[in-house]
Amino acid sequence: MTCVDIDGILLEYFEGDLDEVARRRLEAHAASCARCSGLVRDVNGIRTEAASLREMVPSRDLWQGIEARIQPAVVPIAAVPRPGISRKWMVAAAAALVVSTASITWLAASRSLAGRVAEATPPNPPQAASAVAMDRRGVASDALDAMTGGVSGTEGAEGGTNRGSIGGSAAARLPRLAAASDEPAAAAADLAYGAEIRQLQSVLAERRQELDPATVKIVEDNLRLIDIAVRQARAALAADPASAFLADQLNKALEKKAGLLRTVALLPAST
Amino acid sequence: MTRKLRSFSAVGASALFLASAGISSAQDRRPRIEYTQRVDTAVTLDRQGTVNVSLFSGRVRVAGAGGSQVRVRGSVEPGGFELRTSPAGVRITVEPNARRSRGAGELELTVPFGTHVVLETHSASVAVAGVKGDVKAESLSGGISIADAAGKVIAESVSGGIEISRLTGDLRVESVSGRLELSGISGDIDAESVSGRITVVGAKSKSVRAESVSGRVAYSSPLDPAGNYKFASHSGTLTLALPSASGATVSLETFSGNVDSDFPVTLQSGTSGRHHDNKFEFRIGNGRARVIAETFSGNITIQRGLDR
Repeated sequence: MTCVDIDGILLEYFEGDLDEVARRRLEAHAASCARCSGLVRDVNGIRTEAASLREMVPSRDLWQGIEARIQPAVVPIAAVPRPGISRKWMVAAAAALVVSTASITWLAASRSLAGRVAEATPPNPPQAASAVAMDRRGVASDALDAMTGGVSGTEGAEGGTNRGSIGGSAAARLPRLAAASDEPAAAAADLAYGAEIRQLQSVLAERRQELDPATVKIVEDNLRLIDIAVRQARAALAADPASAFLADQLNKALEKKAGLLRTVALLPAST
Repeated sequence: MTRKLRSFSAVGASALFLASAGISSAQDRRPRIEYTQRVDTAVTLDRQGTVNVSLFSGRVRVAGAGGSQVRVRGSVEPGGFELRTSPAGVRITVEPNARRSRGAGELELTVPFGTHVVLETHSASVAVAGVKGDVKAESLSGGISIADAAGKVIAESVSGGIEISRLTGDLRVESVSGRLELSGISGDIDAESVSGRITVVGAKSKSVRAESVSGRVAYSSPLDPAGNYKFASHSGTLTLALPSASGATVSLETFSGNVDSDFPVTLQSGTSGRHHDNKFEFRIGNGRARVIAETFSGNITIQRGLDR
């Protein structure tokens, strides 16, 4: 039996699968071959040491900590039905529905009116159409007012934009609604980050007691800084909705806020 | 082979106190921590093995050295120390536990050059010098200092300051309110903070990103001709000190901040129509490197020369 033969059956030897004849031949070869005897000795040594290893026990059970952190993200039952948030979402959804419906109505109405105006050859058709448009938008404002109960808007979670007080004449209300329809970038940013930020904020609220007060203060101070950045970017974007730069600024600020909240959510307890 | 070692020799009555004679009165009000357990051991480590230290408070220092041994010395609170070793790694844990340890300690480690060092602390300060391997350090409020590393370095803190110097390798560094001071980095830099100031000096990097929400960002380093550099702050000031002889295309954009440049700046065509944000672009030399600096309300200053 050669060393090459030994290499071919060594695994079976250690597994105890060799027949008696083959086993004796292997051992006879190993007894006269320094290479193979060393190989057998080394593997036997490793087996012996491995058998004496203690069972490894993790220094701490990580699962409880992980479970505690991921559970809030699944939205605990107690945190779900807060009437304020729920109502706010309903109002926002209703307002969006009203605005979109009103826009469609306005488009259809203005086209229809333009056709009628053209037939009647009025002196200033564009002004007439404009007047109707304002009136229609005024109707939309009234509807929004009715839905929100004349909301004097406040920025809650990042999902909501501060629209200020809605009131006065239909003409006065026009710019605010026009701005609402012209802020796709802000809406997209809210869509991307709003839900996550709200969820993470609820995690922070729930974890306050288990975190070091100094840590909480640092986090909240810095969240305030980010909120200022969010408000500034949002306000600037409202004034210049087409600015990709401002949209990027808003996105960055919201991303930073989500990032900081994620960090807090993952901090170990009692820190 | 893995083995678990616990409970190193306790020295007993000769307690070492964290608080020294000159400690402030505010610190005196804190409960004193008695490091009554002395640690002194050495473990053989494979080449490029990993040393992992988790320490709640106090300090940990790690230095690179020749040979193949990890040496651990220091003092810790009794009952909270745990050491696990294998040829490929050493894990040291000093954390609060049910045995009333608050996870405090002062540890000094020497590790073989090229060791991968991983450090996690709550308030303990971290200092790593000359390990010439990858380093990852995370701390909540403790300061982090890493010098003479080679490889990938990652450092993160919430309020602790971070200093990285003389690194050959890529760097990712992040803080919430702690300062980030980066010097002599030869590799890509990715630095982020919320309110912490970011300073980059003497870098030789092809890729730099330094962004803050309200913190200042200061960069004073040469530009690689094929490099990309991005600096951004919402309300903090950006100060870029660029060598006169370098070549770069520099884009500056701000909503309401001021722009001040030692280099001649020309208004980019097609961007003057917007009444708010200001966008400028100019070339230095051959214009090969790409530099972008953006703020919302922070000022942007471009200086000519590194020595100012």
